[in-house]
Amino acid sequence: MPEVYNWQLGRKMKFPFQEAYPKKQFAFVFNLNRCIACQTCTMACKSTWTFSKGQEFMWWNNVETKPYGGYPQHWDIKLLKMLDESHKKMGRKPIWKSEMEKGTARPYGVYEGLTIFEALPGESTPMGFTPSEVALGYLPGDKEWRFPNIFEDSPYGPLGKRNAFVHSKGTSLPEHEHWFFYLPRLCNHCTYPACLAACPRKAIYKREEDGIVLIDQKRCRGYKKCVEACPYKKPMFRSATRVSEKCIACYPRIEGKDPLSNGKPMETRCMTACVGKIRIQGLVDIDSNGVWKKDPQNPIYFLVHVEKVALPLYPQFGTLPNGYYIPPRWVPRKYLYQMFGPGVDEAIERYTAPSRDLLGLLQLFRTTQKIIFKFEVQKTGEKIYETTINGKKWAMYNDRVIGYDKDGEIVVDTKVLEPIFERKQKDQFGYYKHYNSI
Amino acid sequence: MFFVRVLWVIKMEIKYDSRLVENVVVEIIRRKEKEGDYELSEYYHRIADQIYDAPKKDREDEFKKLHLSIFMRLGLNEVINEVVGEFPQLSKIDEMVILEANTTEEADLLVSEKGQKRIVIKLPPEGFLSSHLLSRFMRHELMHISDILDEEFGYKKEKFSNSLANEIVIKEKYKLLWDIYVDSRLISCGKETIADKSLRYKEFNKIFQKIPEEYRERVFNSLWNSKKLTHNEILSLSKEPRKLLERSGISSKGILLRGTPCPLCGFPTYNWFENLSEFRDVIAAIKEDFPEWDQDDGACDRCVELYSLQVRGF
Repeated sequence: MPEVYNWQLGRKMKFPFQEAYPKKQFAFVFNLNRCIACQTCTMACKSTWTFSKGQEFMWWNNVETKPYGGYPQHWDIKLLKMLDESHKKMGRKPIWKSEMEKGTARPYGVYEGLTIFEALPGESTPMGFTPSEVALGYLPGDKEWRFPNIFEDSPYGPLGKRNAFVHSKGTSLPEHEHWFFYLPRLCNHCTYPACLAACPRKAIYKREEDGIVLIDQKRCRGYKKCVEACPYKKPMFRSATRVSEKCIACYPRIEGKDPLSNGKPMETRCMTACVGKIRIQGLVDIDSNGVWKKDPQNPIYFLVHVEKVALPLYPQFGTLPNGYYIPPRWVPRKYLYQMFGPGVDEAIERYTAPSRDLLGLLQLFRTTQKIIFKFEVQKTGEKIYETTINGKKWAMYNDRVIGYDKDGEIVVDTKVLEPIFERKQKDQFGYYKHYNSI
Repeated sequence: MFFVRVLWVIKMEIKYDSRLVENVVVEIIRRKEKEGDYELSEYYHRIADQIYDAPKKDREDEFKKLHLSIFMRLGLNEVINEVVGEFPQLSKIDEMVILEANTTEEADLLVSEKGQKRIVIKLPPEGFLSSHLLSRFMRHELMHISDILDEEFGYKKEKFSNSLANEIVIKEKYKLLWDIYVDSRLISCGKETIADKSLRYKEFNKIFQKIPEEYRERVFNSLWNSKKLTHNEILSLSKEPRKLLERSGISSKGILLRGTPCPLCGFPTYNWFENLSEFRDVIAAIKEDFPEWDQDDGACDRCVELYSLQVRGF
């Protein structure tokens, strides 16, 4: 099996295909501190792409409640257990060497454990096509696809005691004793997609122009190997057509072909519908060696590689997912380390007392439907707030924040302090006018 | 849904849920692949490829046919046919529908307005992966259905209680007693079923805790050896555990069952007053109000407390 470089793991790893990278990569950042599980993203996707026969249980975008929820049910727990068993069998330990480096090549240190491509006992190809055994995985049964947000709002509690709370005087940061959080998910359009690797028909491909992973509906023959191999369980089988389907990253919008976009790349439906303003999506430039080209003014690059507040979901799986999450501050760190890797402490620290640039960028989340390729924080604002965070002084400045589109044109121009509009103009009857009449 | 006619004398048709059939077939292919056996997989995909090349509108139906043909080829229907053949009473049934179970396995008998009888059995796909387990499950469920069809058994769907909580409790007991009746008869005929005597006793021990421990085994053995029980009997035993004792030849006089009603206030109690015989004045006071009552009938803590206060002039 060839070896490829996985910068999230800080090392080379096994993958069934040779290295080949897109010019740009579709990527997104979700701020889990702000998600309220309103499912607006879920419905935006559903009403756009999966409203037809055979797609009843298909949720390309879903929001689940952690730690117990999952769609399909227990997808991550199941795979983590399988991965754990493989480690035991092979006498390995899933540990991270913590020496993190600046730059993009090894930001979280080195993962010394096994990825899903390395955790299989052996390799065998008795058939004329790639077998399912290219990656550790499982095929969820019908029962597991029934509930997109099972265990909604169920918090973690004392072991073996239902509806019991251990605290009597409330709970406070840095870690809550009883906690849950919402995890919005869609296809991560991985750099090393397990679905693509497992497809015996080679019906899955990654686009050169934006790294979006798609299933060719004509080539697919319903082997379900993609469903089995994807660790995030995002390809889904459609019984009515007998082929698998998955998130297409709303590629007409990314291409700027949406009628609303005037030829300018737009963010996906699920991103733009987010009412909690937790999402931002973009395209990052990829170098010939697969790592991100230095571009600190790109919002996604800035969040992932400069501030390092956004972390990949289960990087240890080894697919190099392109979805990144700002971890929830109140959740016990051990759980977060397992989910987001070793960058958690630094991410939470930086998010808790954000720099002027980070605070400015956070204001750009969901201010425009256009993809922001470049942002700028003009640090000329007046000080509007001062406090102490974790024993250090911290101040908020009402800086100007500007977002630029692909062609360098301003698509958003705002301030850290959200502008407030006061409606004063009265109509002929003396009532205030409703400009946004519903 | 597909039709398969059973070979033996009965005219019953057995229909299989296409979703169940597909899941069973796909799972078997997967398992064989994992074991390195690709013959079935290659066969499946060879036929499937032709369907994919055909017009899209027929795809769903063609796949249903393919899955069913493999299902039959693997002989997965034969176990069911064989077990059905063991129950001649089922000649009264018009059809059997086997559906995929979403939660638990179950069987039911439905009767249409025209009097057509249909058995509905719900099974998980994994049920077909072991013919041994499948036949045991089918036998157990079809024995229940045979009882339903038996006029002497007198099965009728009814509300066991007006209180939902009580309904659940009674149903749980009824279900266990009926299961004991079903499995004991199957085992006595030398047939295998889903639970043996020791497993049923374990369940009985758990559910009938009202019966004092020293009597439980005797009561259970009496049930296990029952030759004939009816719906009404099982229901009455579920509602009144005291009758279980009586039926086993144990006098319930003086046995205070936990959770049964106090003869004075009528409320179920777990706190029977002990050493009541030492309080003669209280016994006398109770007898004034309840002449039929005997101290062996017992009284709950609260009632004895009330009469004690009365005796003391409060």
